[in-house]
Amino acid sequence: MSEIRVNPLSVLTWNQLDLNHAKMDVSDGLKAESGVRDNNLPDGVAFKGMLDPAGYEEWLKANNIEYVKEAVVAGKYPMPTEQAFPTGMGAETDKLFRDKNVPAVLYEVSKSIERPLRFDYFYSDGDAILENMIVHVRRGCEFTLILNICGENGIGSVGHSLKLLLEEDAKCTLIRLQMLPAGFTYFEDAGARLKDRAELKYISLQLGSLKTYLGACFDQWGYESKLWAGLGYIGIKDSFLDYNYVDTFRGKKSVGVMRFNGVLMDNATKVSRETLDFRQYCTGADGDEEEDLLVLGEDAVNKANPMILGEEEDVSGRHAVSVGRLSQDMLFYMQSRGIDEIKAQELMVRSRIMHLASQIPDDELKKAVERYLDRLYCDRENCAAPCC
Amino acid sequence: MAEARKDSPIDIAEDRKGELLADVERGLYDFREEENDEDFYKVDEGLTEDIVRRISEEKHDPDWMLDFRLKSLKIYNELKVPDWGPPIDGLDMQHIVTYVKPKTGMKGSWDEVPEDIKNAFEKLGIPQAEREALAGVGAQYDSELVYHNVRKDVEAQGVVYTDMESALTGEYEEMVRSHFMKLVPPTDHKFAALHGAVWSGGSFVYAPPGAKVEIPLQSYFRLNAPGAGQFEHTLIIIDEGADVHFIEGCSAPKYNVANLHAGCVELFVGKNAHLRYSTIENWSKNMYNLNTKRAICEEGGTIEWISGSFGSHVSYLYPTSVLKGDHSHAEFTGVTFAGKGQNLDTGAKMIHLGKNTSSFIDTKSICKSGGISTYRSSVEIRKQAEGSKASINCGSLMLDSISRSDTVPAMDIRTDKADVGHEAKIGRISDEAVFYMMSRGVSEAEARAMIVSGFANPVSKELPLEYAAEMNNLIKLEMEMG
Repeated sequence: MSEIRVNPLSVLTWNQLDLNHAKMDVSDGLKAESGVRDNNLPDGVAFKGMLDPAGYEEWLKANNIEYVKEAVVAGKYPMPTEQAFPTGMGAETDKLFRDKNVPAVLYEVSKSIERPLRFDYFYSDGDAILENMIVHVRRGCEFTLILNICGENGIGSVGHSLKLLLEEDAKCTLIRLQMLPAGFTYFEDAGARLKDRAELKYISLQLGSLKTYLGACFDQWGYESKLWAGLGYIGIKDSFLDYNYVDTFRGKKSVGVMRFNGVLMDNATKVSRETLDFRQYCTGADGDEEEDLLVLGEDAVNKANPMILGEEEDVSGRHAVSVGRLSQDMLFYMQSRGIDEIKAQELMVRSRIMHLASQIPDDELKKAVERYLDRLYCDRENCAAPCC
Repeated sequence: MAEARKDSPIDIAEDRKGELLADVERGLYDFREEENDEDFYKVDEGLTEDIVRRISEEKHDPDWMLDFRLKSLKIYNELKVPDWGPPIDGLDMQHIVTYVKPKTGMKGSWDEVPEDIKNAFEKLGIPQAEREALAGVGAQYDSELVYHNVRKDVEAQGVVYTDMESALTGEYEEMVRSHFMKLVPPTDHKFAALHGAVWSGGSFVYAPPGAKVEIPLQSYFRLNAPGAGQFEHTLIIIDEGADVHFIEGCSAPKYNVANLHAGCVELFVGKNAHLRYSTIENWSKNMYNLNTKRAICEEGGTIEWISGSFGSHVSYLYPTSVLKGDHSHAEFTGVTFAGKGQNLDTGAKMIHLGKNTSSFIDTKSICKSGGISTYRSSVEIRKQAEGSKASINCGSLMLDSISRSDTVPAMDIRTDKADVGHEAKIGRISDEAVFYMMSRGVSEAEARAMIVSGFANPVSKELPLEYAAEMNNLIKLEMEMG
């Protein structure tokens, strides 16, 4: 077992808060999976090859993507990681994939696809797997991709990396649904580059696993590019979630919205880093980020660092955080209608998760999320109803 | 001995016309009184055990204080410079004079203060403010207090307001010993350790149970010597049910060598007591302001921080409130204005330990002409602090695209029985607002200055009228620069 630094904070803060990065244990047995999923690929989506590190560098070069050295601004140290294609989890995660010889599977979308494309990943006890994918959506194409990650009871370690390049006027919806059993460690990394008028809707639902690390870096290069990112999660028992979401505004009039909705129960821990980063010349950019966390566990731990970084005057940026319990008014209202406190809590948890889940364009997966929540509450209440 | 160095004419010529104008107008704060060796005692530049011993000897420290200084020096040498904030590479301790003492004792009447020093404080309006609006005044020039006075009616309530040296060597020695650097231990960070080693000057306030000081006490810190450091220690103990407003003012003339301010403020707020601590900081723009302020509140106690940060080249300033007692409360209201060449990293820390504690942070950051303003905060709610509430609001206003404004707030919440709300906004002056005011005959420059003053209003409205006016003048001055 070794350890790497992930989820670096864009601007360092007091070390004693232990927020500047996370440390993630890496199992020695991790190996490449990166299976090509070219069965039933719809017309317009093509598998373009497995990129080893040299192939990846060539692909970056071919798409004019190069490392942009940060302007060293007094008071802001350069990003602690150097990546040509930045991701939320940072450079050491890229290096992990390189060290483990995990090639990136490159898909190219050259036509608009009406039906969502879904990749299912099912993991078993003892699995230690890395998946690496690049999706290149060509100019003007529309595309929806769902990555469904689940498994059978056991202990395992799974890591997914995804890089997404959206050309001008491309539109992409990306959904990552994770319902792994409680013995798993899971990490998902993402980097996205949005060119002129490109639009990305990025939804991540994290319902399972014991330890979870999430990173996403949205680089809004293009004029009038748009991002909507939503993360929903439930932390139960002694689960641990650490995430780093960064929205970097570079293009003029780019718009970014990030929403974080979570529930912490029992003695679960959540550490979050959320950054709106307005770079010089992104005039007219508009960023809005909100975190809403319901804490239902006496021993739950919540650490957060929501940041706005501004080096452009003509922008509008806002972030808001609300952390708390169920309001007494809400409880009173529910109880006056015969709903007890436990049931009221369950309703609130369901409503938060299903609010995001309802945006998954796949009825089967929506039902799977409902079943997962049913099971979760049955387990908590030791019930023996048919849903179990 | 360090010699007073002049501003280089070449440097001045390189400044833009607008800044020259502003420098002239800053004359209120930038005037200098030349210091000569006959009137001042100085230690050598740098930081060594010998220098620490000489300072201790000069101040007639009790033995325990010398030990404390030497331990702090050891800690200073072991700790690293922070790696997370604005760069302080330009600060070379080997060229800082840590102790400069005017060869005059502390006086109780302005008439007895040496003419040149008195002139400095006259220009800053301190004696006039004392006559009109203050219950007591302490005036520090370089490393030591030169004047101290407190109104008789305040003294009659049993309120003690004196300089730290008198408290340390007089009847309050035990009280000082049991509180000194207990809230801000030298191990806290490198510049707290530096303070522990070379501190001098500052004020000591004790308000007995039930004392109510209706009008504020003020300490004014003036650092006049080029290349010097000021390390004053402010220790305020407010006993049960007492109520005090303390104002701290700071300024220095501008030199082309680095000056350092590493003061320390420790505030002990007793049961159901109330303390308001207001600061208008206007250090010159060659100053490294690495100040540490901390308060601890017992049951039902309240600490209110009002803070205006306008000066210094680099600031690290995060007043901390430790809400130890149940139902204790803290508020921080601050405005920071960073202009050209300034990198001001300011904010607040709140630590909730007691049940049903509450904290409120409201800050405004403004940056202009390449200035960098960072709002940095942390709110910690510990497991036992059930029923606590915290609210944080921070607004940033950028006045051009060569400046930078960051907000870096952190939260660490360890109980499910707490409510925390946080909101931050960044933006610019709206064209519509400027147009509206211009359509009513206000010039664009005035309109922008008025909007910025309005943005900072949450702070100025909390200050006594004279200080609010000073703050608005500082904003106006900053707006005229460049």
